[in-house]
Amino acid sequence: MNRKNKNSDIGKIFYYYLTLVVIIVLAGNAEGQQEVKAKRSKIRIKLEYFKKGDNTKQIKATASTRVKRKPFPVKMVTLNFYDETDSAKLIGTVETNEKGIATLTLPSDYSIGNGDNPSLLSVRFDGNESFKSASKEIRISDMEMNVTYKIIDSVYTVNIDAYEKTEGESSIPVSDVDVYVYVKRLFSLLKVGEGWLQDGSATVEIPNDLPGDKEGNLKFVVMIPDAEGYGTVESDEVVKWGKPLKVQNKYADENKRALWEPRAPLWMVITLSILLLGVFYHYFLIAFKLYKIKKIRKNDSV
Amino acid sequence: MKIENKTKEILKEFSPQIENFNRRFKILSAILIVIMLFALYAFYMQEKEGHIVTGMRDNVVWGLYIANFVFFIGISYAGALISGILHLLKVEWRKPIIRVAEFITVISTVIGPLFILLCMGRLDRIYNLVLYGRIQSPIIWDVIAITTYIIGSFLFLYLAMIRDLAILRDSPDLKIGKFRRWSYKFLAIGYNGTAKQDKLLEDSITIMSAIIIPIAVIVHSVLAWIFGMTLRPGWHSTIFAPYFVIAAVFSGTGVLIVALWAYRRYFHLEKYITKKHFDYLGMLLLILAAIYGYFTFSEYLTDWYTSETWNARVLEKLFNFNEYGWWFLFAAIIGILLPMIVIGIPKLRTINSVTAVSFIAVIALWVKRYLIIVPTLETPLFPIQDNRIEWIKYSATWVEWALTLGGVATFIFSFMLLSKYVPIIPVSLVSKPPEKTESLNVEEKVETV
Repeated sequence: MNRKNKNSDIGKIFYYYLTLVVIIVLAGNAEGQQEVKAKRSKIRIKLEYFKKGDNTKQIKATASTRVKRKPFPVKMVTLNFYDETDSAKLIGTVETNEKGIATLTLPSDYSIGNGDNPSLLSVRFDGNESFKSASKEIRISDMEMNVTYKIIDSVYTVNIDAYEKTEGESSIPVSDVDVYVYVKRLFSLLKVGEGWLQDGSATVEIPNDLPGDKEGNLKFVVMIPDAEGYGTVESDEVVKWGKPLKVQNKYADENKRALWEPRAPLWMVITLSILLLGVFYHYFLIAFKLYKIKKIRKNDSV
Repeated sequence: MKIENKTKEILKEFSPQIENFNRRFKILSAILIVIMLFALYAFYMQEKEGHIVTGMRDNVVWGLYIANFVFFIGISYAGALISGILHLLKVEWRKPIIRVAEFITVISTVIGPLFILLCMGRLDRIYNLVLYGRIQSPIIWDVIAITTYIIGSFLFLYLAMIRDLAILRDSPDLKIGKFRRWSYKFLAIGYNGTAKQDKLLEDSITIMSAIIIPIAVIVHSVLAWIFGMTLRPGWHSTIFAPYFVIAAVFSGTGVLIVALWAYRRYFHLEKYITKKHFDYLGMLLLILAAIYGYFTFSEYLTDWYTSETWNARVLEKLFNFNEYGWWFLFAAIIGILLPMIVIGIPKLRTINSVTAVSFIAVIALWVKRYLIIVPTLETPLFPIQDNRIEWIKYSATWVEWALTLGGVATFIFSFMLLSKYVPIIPVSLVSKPPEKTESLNVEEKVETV
């Protein structure tokens, strides 16, 4: 009898705990869902446009959020890029990387508007459990840049003409923006000069003692960074304005000690030849003696 | 060829050795074949999966395989130097042991380089070594030197066997197969023991005895230079070449003593391989241990005293009992001092004790090779990023151990097969009257002959 009571008591306690656990779990879930809803953060998108030297175009969106007033990149979210010049047209979908950056590269023949009809490019984020939806747009006109490299009175001079083509053959010069001249180095760009565009043109003087490659080639990159309504526009060209690089390693040249040197030092070849000839001469001598031993047998048998 | 009665008697004594394959031989062969097959499976796994199945990684690119290679080339000195020198000096007591020494040379010279092949990542590209080899590379010196050495070793062994091959050819009572008899006939190249033939053969053996000594020295020097010509700590040493040569003769003598003990016991050769052989070879081992010990002390003292950063790091590992301390103690102290003490004290010097300390010395020398290779490679000169412990710390895998055991099994099995082909005691030599030397007063006779 006591045992039966004991069992029913255990059963009651079990049901009590089970109900409690279910309530806690459900409450926790509800709370969690409320938290998610409550914690959906704002996402900020920065949109930039680049026109590269090879005429390809890039739209770069950087997504970030603020946590305790500090910006943090938003990674692994999908951003949709649109060209909304005439009507909203999806031109690409890219997921942000570890730095919150999504870059869409457009082909070099992709047409960007100009004059009275600039392109309206936008990026949209549709929102998810963590972030609210967001969008950003920029108006971009296509800037053309002509760069000429001339030596004027022994001064290495870079002339930059920047303009925006409009309908027909007319053009609007780009003015009051900075222009920088860089040289491409192994890991980054080295700034070698800067100027200011006035009435669409600028002149920048370049040092004449820049080290180039073996043939004196330098890859120049002329850049107008982040110009209002144009984005960042680049032009690059390889010019023989550098000092040819001479690999001078007197020690290696004289001693032929380089790892890639195919010729062995003469003394080594001679030593090795003498050693090998000496040894193999004796091997052949012994082989000859063995041959003679065999021949003697034949003579004997005859 | 006319065979003297004395020779006939000795051959009769050895004929069961080459005629019969007894039960003990078969069981031992079966065990060794199983080990070799297991090694073959390990090799298959290595070729199938790549070197990831070994413990070798980007930093420690050499491990057991190269230790085994250096070890086997080292023990090949037994035949090259010992039998070469003893032949030139016409030392009488060499006669019964010379063939064992030459077998050791030939077998280990073949097995040693196989470990290099095992260490190579892409065997299918091996021909590039020949096509694009650079004479200024110590690796190519090694390839050339070892190839020359293998040819020389075979030639040396063959020359020393011709007389016995002719005796075997002309012994119709031997119960052997047709093919074997034909092979004796073929290899004996018509040697009939005429005065002219004998002179030619004797000259050839003398030439080979003289030339095999510098070849052996060069081979092991080149092997040492592979290490010495790098700037790595613990390797870049000017005394590495003579140090390696002495270590090689030391290990070769040790293996020779162990092999003689095994043959003496297995074939009951007490009549031919006497205590005198163990005493003399033991004394040689003692002298070599002393020289080797001197080199070892000199090498480590110089490194320790200068305490150059990288050398000091390697030495720290060798002296640290949580790393290689115990191994170092065994290889550099016990393995050297123990043979000296046991052989140096006449009361302790018995056949078994000399063999036991020789065996310990051989194992110690193998460990020493491991200690030369691994701790140095575990101390990379480049401060590499993402320095994971498994990339720096070497630990041999079952594949490497299986192939190492396979190498040892092949060594023993080859020995067994060769000693079934020709008598382990050179019948023609021991039946000859003692050679008289004028310069050296060595007129000892092999006691029982």
